[in-house]
Amino acid sequence: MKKIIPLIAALLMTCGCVPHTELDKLGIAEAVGIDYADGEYTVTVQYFNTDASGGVTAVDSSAPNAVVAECSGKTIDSALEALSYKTGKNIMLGAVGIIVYGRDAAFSLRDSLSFAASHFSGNFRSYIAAADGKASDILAVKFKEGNASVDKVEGMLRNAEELGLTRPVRLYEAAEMLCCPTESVVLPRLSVYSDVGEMTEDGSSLILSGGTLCTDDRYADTLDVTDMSGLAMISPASGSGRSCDMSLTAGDSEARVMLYRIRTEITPSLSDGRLRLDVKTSADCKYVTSNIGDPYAGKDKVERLCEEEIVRRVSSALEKTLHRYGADFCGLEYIIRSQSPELWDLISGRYRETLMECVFDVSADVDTERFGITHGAA
Amino acid sequence: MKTRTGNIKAAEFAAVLALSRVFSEAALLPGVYVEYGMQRFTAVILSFLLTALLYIPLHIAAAANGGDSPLEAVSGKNKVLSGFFGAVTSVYLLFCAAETGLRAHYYASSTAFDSAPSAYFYIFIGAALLFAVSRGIKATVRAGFLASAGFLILLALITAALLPDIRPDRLYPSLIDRPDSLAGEVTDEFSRGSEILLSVLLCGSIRGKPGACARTYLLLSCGIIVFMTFLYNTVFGRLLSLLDYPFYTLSSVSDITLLHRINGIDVMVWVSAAAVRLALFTFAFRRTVRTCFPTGKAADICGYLFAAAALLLSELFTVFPELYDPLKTVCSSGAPLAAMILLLTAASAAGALRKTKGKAVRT
Repeated sequence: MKKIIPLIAALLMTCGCVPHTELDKLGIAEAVGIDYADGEYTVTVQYFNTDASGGVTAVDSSAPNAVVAECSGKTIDSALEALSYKTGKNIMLGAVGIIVYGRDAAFSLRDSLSFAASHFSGNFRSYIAAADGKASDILAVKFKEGNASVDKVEGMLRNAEELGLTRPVRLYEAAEMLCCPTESVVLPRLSVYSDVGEMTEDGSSLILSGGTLCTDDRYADTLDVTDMSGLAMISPASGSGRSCDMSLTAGDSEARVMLYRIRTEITPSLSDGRLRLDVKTSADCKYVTSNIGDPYAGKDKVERLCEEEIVRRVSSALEKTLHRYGADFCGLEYIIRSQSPELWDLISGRYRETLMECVFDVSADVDTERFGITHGAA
Repeated sequence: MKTRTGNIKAAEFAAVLALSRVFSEAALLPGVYVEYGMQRFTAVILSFLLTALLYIPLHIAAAANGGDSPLEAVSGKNKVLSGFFGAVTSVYLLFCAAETGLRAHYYASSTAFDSAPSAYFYIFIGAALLFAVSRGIKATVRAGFLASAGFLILLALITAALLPDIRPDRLYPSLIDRPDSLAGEVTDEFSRGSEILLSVLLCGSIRGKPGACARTYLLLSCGIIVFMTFLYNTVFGRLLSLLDYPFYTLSSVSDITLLHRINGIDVMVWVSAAAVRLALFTFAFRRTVRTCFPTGKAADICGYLFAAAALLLSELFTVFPELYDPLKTVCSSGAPLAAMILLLTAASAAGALRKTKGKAVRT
């Protein structure tokens, strides 16, 4: 043992004799944008700029810590390689927070996600989003408060999920959905809009404008915020379920409520030779604000309004995805297979057509549990 | 039945064997994919049942032989037979060790250390192996036991972090989805469990009743692999069939507040497991050589040569996959492992028979 310890110590001193990479030679990517035009991919990378460390904020123009660079190539891999030459840095994908697909690149989702999933230095937990136009425009936005667009988008997605406006999709989830029979995934959609009042350097800002449905290796349709909210409600939830912020109006009465512990149960069956889906959503409700005198007295009315709104949103999402495109966006296949293997055997051969012809019955049950400080005020 | 008086606890050794077995499950060879579906559970359980079924006669024969190593039963009396058993066992052990090096090399170089030169891997694993073999089996098992604890902590962390992502509805009530491929999956799974031989070849070092170690090893590794299969299926669903290294991906996906991604720890656990596995095969080889050939003290040197040959062979397999592919096809059929178990059973039975005859002559 006494002989081995000096040997190990001596070995440690030889670490300078082997090839190594300095930190400033790495382009630590924070966001990746993928566009496609004229048979070429354009990859835009927002990366941490170690050369200019010392900036007050991430996008401080005097010493920007987050810089954007782009390059084109026949494949995403070759574009990334070209980007390495262009920037003089090895592009490291392990810390990528978000991957944005331009509208024209959505068709390549499956191939490029397979690339990312098999590229072990990548980040399987990166968010995936779609851009209304070009992905590079999304990454180019710089906020005056010093945030790079990646910080803004990540925060936006997290907030939107808490408010029930969308369901953020991570890389491994998107890749998994694209492995399912209908190869469908719904991604949150980002848009750039101009607003002089916004705190950005060039007056443009970002907004979460709904969702993009990609199915069968192509861009299929856009979904609005209501559809995305309905979709989030029926998507598998973790922990205590999903939540959703909802504004309700009935005559002069207005109320803003928060639905939480949203749970959806889908029961598949066969009815007149067609697939029938019974979708039952349950949620607890609490008041956020309202002009209803005694919220406790108006409880039943508010609950009914919430239930109607849930049914509307969920039905709209199902109508657009299932009936129009036969797109299984939330793993219905797994549900059918686990609940009724015989039914799955029957429909698996023509799954997309079956979904397009299916009938669904959506019902909701909302229970108001908390009335806040307004209870008893009247 | 005689109780063995070795200096390693049977449970401790079983835990190390289980880690070694799980290593083969996590560090898959290139081009080997784990298929999504409930059939995976069936294949795993059937493969362990097959191992247990083959092991029972060996256990009975070994017990009749007084709990001694099967190779001791054939050594000494007949040099040709002893040499034959020694040579066959040595070749099989060398292949298993080389395959371990190959798996670990691919795993490390394809995942977290994708840009690290191969030399790093061989220096690390070679140094660990040298250290293990020079320190002896007890120290190696103790270190392996710590690595097993490290693996269990890793598994617990991954499970806790992935709890929100586990979707039980990805499991469905069907045990056989692809009847055509079931037999292949079972034999492939069975062929990865060469550790059962180690529990027999190294039995002289284990304290306790014969069979206790093998029984614990089989139950423990089967339980862990079934649980890993559960995680694979419920977290990845159909994506599983596309992933090269599902366990590594599990560790990449798990987002732990303090440690963030734990894929670096994952790779360290498996490289350590590979070093322990290689060391165990080296000890088994050394025991085989010492028992079957009149090498005397040269057996120790043979051990070092075996370790070096295993690493060299694994590098050869990496560089020239065409050398390895036919061997892989034969080995994944499970036939070599089954033949080895039967061979050791025959050796034990022969020893038992001789002892019975000896007793009869004395009386």
